[in-house]
Amino acid sequence: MTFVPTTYTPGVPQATDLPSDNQTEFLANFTLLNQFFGVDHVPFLNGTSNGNGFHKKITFTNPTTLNPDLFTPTGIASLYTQVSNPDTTRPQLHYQNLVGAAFVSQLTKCTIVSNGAGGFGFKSPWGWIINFGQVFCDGVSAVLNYPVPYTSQVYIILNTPIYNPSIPALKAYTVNTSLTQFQSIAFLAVGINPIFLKTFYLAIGV
Amino acid sequence: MTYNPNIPQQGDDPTLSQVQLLNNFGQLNAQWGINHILLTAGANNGQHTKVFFNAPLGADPNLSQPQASLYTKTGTTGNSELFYQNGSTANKVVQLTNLPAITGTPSAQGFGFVTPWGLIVNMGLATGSPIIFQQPFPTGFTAYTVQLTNAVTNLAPSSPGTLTKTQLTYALSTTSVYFLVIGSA
Repeated sequence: MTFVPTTYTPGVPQATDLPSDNQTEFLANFTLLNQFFGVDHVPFLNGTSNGNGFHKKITFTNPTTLNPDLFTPTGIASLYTQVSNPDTTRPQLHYQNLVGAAFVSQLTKCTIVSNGAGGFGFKSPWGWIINFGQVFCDGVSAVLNYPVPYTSQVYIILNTPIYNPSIPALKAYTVNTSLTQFQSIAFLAVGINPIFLKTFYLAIGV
Repeated sequence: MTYNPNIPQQGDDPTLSQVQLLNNFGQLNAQWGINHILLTAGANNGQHTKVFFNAPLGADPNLSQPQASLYTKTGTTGNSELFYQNGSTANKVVQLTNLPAITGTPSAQGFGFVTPWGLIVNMGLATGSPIIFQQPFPTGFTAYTVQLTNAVTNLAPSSPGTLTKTQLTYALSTTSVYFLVIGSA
């Protein structure tokens, strides 16, 4: 019985080989090309027809430890998996479109930064920076330094104070906004400074 | 002529195999080139040009980590949607496009969303306290934000009260409010 290799042999045929010498390697190579390509793609021979070159899925075998850090010319982009915070046990999907860590987007289970005091922020893969959380007040106002500061524009700040239900006629407004912080001030409808406990906030920008 | 993975056979005359070999090499280049740089290209060999997904999978791949998989399945819209799985069980699957709104949880109000970014979002219009979430948060979750806006009264803003993984109470409980609650998944 003729031995047929089970691994792909890229080094055939050699210059001095007769074609018949490499029959088993040729056969194995064509079979394995079809088999391996067919793991994630429609195989070259699909049933009784040629394949269409399409993917069935994309399997990422080993997460990278480093970002691809693409090279020139620009325009090349990469989709890959990497084990990163906050889930250090499972690979998450990443995308990079220019050289440098600033051009890496984490597409799944985004890395959320905490300021250790109830504030959180992250850079979303769709271009927004989102900060949210709770900030405690000094009695009348609360100042929050964003865990992830903005670089050019804050689109919106939502601010919902938590107050004593026994003095429900309390309102709040947001002042002193910048790319790095905002201040929430609460007051009673009649203009008396109340005591509120903290405020939940949500800020969206770039 | 279709790609033939079973050539050449032992005993085949090499001259008779020439047409089959030529055809296979041609098919390899043509089919590879649909989504990848052509094998005949002089640069960027091995890279993708795009990714076509042939058909939505009928089931999640369920690969064991560190393997992960990007694929399409039929979403609630009836269209192929993009999914990602990084474990061998269904709870390691996230939907990346057209996230379905969860409704129908008994006594719940609004809409719930499980996002691929590690966040669960519940939002909508509540007609009274407590607000039962369509998508409960996991045990030990982090509450990132709670936003309330009065919907139908000119009273002072409602204030968040007790927040658990399944519900939120709020002051002025007779007031209808628009709510947004974001927490960790």
